[in-house]
Order: sequence, then structure tokens, then C-alpha cells
Amino acid sequence: MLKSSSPSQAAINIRKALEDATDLHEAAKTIGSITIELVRSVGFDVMPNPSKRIPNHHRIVHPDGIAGFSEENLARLSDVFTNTTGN
Amino acid sequence: MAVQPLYLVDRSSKRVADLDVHRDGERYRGTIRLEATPPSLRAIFNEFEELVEGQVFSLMDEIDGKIASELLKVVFTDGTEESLDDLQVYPSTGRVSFMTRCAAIVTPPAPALRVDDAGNGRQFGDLESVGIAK
Repeated sequence: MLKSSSPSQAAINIRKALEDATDLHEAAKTIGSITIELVRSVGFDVMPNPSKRIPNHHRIVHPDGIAGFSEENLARLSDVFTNTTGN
Repeated sequence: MAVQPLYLVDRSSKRVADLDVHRDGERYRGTIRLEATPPSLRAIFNEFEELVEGQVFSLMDEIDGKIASELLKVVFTDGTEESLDDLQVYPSTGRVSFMTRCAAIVTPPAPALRVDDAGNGRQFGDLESVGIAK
């Protein structure tokens, strides 16, 4: 996931970093967004995972590691995302 | 008439791909033909495309490093060669873009994060696609 000021800004970031990635650009028309506080409210956390190409890349982590990514926990996480289209 | 990139060569100066690109700001963009590309190099380009389109951004530095380690160069219409920077090849669409080393903006490498860096006994989960949903 990208840490950004808005879903549309995240879409701009990804299109600029990888300008010829057609499938990715299509996928980025719909962005699932969430605040870090909401991620933490359902037991997950966010860690920076920058690369040269995408310096604002982050990963969602769980204190229990892979075991924390159970169907039940992922459903709770999914529920706090908001999708926006047309980005 | 300005010189144009014609093809890519490997470290032994063997021609490995043909280009049809134009200058767009600091980058060259266009199409690439991979008929002459060795399978090992083609596999690296395929891996790059799969990681990008699959949103596996945690491995971007690694695959970019693999591409850079091939030490590919671009040969221009006047016969001159230049090293490449930020080469992006998408084999499924034939799209390519790159900068030449002299035109590249030099940025320091991003710090690498490892599982051990997470601290507090936390480990990264493998959830790459949350940020962009189809």
C-alpha cells in the first residue's frame, strides 16, 4: 500500500513511477483507502517499506505475523477500507 | 537530425533487443522487440512485469538490481553507446522506457527493510495488494 495524501494522489504516484504498467494503471482506477489509525483499530499495523522507485510504499503487518492474517482478521481489515473509483 | 536509440547490447556488446523509442523529457519511451533477447534476460524482464502488475512492490529494488547487473547499454544511430538507468520492459505489451546514464537523476538507494528490522517480535505479513483493489 502507498502512504499518500489522498487516493487520487496514490494513483498519480503509481502511474508516474511505472508509466507503462497497463494492468496496474487499470487497477489503480479503484483505490481502497484507510487511515493508519483504522488499521491499528482492527489489530494490524503499518510499516514503511520504501524502494527507490516507490519511496512511500508501506506494508500492513500483524503482531502475530502470518498467523495474524486469518480470514477473520482480514475480514475485519477489509471492512474498514473505503473504495473510491475513477482515480 | 538528432541521434536516436537503435538497440540494446549486453556486456559483451551482443545485440539483445531492438528499439523504436522517442525522447520524452528525460526518458526514452516506445516499443522493444525481444526476438534476439537471451532467455535468461527475457526471464528477468518477465519477472519485472509480473512484480509490477502484481503489485509486489517489496521486491522492486531486487528486480531493478537484477536488471542493472546485466550492464545493458543502448546503441544510437551514430554508433555511440550509453549506459542505461531505470530500464523498464514489459514483454507482454512490448513497451519500454529508460533513461541514459548521463541523463539520469542520481538518488541515494532507499534503506532496505528486513523482517528483523520490524522489532517487537512483529513480522511482515504477505499482503501486497491492499492499497489498490480491483
